[in-house]
Amino acid sequence: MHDRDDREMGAVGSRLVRVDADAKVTGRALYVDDLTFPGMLEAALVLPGCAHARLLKVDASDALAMAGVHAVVTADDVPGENQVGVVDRDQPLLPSERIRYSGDAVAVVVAETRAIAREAAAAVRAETEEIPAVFDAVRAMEPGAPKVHDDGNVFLEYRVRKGNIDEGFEAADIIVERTFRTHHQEHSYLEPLGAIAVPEEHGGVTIYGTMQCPYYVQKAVATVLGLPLAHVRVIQTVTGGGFGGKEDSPSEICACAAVAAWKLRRPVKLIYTREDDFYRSSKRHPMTVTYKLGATRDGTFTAAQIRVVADAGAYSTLTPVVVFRAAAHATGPYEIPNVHTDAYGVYTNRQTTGAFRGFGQPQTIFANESIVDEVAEALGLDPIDVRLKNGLAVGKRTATNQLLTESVGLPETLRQAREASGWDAKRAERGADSDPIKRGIGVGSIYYGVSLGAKGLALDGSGAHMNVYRDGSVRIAIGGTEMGQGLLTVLTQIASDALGAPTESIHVDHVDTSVVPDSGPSVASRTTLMTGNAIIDAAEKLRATMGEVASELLGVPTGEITFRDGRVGAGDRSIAFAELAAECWARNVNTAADGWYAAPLSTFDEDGQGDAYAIYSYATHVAEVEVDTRTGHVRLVRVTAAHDVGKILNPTTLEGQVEGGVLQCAGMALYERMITDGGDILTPDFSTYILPTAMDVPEIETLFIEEPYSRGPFGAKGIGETPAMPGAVAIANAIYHATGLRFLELPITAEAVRLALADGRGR
Amino acid sequence: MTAAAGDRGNGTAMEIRLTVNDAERVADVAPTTTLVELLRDHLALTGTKVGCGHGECGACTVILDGRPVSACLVFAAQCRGRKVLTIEGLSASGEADRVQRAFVKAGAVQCGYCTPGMIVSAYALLSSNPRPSRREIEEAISGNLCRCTGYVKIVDAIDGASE
Ligand code: FES
Ligand code: FES
Repeated sequence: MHDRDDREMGAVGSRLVRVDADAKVTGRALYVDDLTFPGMLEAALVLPGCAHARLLKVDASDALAMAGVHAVVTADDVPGENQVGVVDRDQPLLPSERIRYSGDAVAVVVAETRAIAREAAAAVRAETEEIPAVFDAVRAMEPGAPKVHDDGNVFLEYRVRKGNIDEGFEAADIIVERTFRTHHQEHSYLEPLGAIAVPEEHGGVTIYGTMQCPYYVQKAVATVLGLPLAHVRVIQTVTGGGFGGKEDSPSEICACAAVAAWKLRRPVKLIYTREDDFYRSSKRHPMTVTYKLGATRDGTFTAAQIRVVADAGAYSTLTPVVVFRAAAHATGPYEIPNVHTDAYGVYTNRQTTGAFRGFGQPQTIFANESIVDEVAEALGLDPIDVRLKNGLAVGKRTATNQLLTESVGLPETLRQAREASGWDAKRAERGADSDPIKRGIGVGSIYYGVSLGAKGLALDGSGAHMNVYRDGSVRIAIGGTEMGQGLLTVLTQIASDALGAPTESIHVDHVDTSVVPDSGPSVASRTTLMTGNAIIDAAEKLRATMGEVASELLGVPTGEITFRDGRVGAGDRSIAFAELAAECWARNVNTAADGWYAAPLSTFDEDGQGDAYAIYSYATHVAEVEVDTRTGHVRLVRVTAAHDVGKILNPTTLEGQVEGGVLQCAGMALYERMITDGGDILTPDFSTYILPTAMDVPEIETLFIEEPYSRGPFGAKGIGETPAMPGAVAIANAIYHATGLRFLELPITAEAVRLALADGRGR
Repeated sequence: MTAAAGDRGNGTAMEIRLTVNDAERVADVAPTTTLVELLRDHLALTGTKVGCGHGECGACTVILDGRPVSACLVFAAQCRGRKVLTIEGLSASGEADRVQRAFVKAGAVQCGYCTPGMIVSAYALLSSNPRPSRREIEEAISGNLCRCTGYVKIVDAIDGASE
């Protein structure tokens, strides 16, 4: 799609130092809580904490009597529609009649200071009447279960039907079936959610906040204030981590701040406490996955039947997209001729669940990759051999019957991970029975449809605005968000090569919705691909207009002009990019351009058949563990992470994303579990919700495979999600290899291991 | 000075003097004002971050009389007459400290929210132990959570700065 392939690349592929690193190491980077505006007030939320209740009255009299309190804002103060649902319109911003989970807020208290606001929020009394609640998605599906919404709890159903499932199982020599469970995982981005709403003199409002999806926020704020989109400007501040957790939830906090600011006509800041964040932000869906896999004696898969039940919590938020992804990918990265998948999204009175790196897949991966290992063992085959035998490759078809035509790096990830980890020798090793420390090695492989696929078509375009100033410096506005992953840096590299301008001359800004058209969400590993292509599109337009001026100046035909290394021209006739920019300015030539990229069409019919995503990324992780059979403690010793990324744009940022993902996998596999009791979260902080620390880091080897994608920027595909996907089950499989214990539930805590061993399970 | 974001409205304000990044500072604080509120809200030193407010994440780490502390757990009033060094102080001369430079070079920064606290912890470690082992580094920053990096490049950076 772009004519750059003939050029050797400059900035792309290099280890360009992060463009935002200086600001971040010196403390100069401004996150939302670092900003202040004249006359700004502070806000806090009132959470009654009920799991399911009728709201009878909000009594704010005590709070309003406190010195420094300006207002207690409730549903009555919402000037527009009291609604923040992202996909379905099922979520009031501030419920006025019914509370559906303990994170529902019924009022926003605004005061002179944050401390006063929080104290006053605690003084607001909500009169409620409890109604029966349901806390388990499987139970919520049963007839007679308490209804979270009046239409019933099962609000979503996807199916995939390929081939003939009965014939598939008949052809099998062996069938393995099991049910797996996973629980809420908290994103635990270090920067809590926060927002500032500033009323503007022209009648609109400007929102500043930490977020992944400014255009979602714009829509939500416009809805609650009843304003046209043009009057809502959203500026993303430096964002302290997202991982999917800042996709849907920022709409709520920004809308709360906006309603309060609107009422008081003053800037209002709302920053969540960590506990607020645990209660109110979306988590990884707890899922119950039943997986049945059939295979012939030589290890060829013949049929897979899968049932996925996803706990959406009280509101659907992103569940329709997350469960779609889970359904489409539920078989794992294998060609299986007969597939029968049912996936359900179910309301419960628990925390809402949305996007978390992997987007619904890590839960089904835990099931499918555990089962693949069981099948391999039952047949006496090596797990990697079985994966290679059935794994997707060019010319094979996915569960949705999509023919893969390019850029399928799965086999190579398996081969390289096997080699680099020393798999064959370690797999054969058996420690002495007397040794209380058992060693094991396990594998997990995944595929991941990049971007939004068939259920996000309307959102799947992205823009960029590129402005070349007369001194040759370049400023670029984008619609995708930097949340820590390194986007601004790789986009600087892409722009540099696309324009032939040095990286130092380029500056890429965080999103401002008033500059770039709605570019959809920054999720699903789509941002580099989509925004990168939009930048390339803008650069192509600028090369065309600026190239004409260069052609005139140099007397070289436009067709021969190239832009590279800061110079424009052909052969020995060239001028500096900056000089050309000045010349364009002097001639009144426009040197700003808009770029746009729209994803190719994808399809998914009623039977779940079609080209669900335009392109897939692939990865294999091999994990090595030591299990102390006396304590149950699992030490993650080493992880080999092989990723097919299409094209490496910046090895440093890539490694960083993979290393961070490996540790999130370790957390999901071994430590992280949000424990709830009714509506109460028993682990609402980092001393009870256990995150991996620097002491838990294994040796990590990252391997990158480049199977270029013809429509990717310089061949690149997405990398955002995949590092957080194969690792958890690789660890579970390694624990099995070490101990003979097959866990059907994550996390596998030391306690779980010890109890299983005490039960006499395992070898 | 007007009431700042972190203060309680109640309680008697008191004047405290302390040294922050080698400069004498005076502020009116409430008895419940924490050191991190003093720094961020009264002294406009927003480089120090708050990730939890309960001493669990390390984002607010500063150096108090030579030792790293969680500034969200220390009351401002306890700092009367004492010396505080924050992330801003490390590059007060306008030039980044070697630990800061090492973080940039090693690619140890992603979202950056943990970074100031992490660098201050590393600085404290290297001040007392100029050549720590990797294990000692991991121990020294085990109270600083980072959700982005997997810590690998952070440990590399501190290791690099120690040479
Ligand atoms: S904010 Fe002080 S330790 Fe987390
Ligand atoms: S870089 Fe994001 S938390 Fe450490």
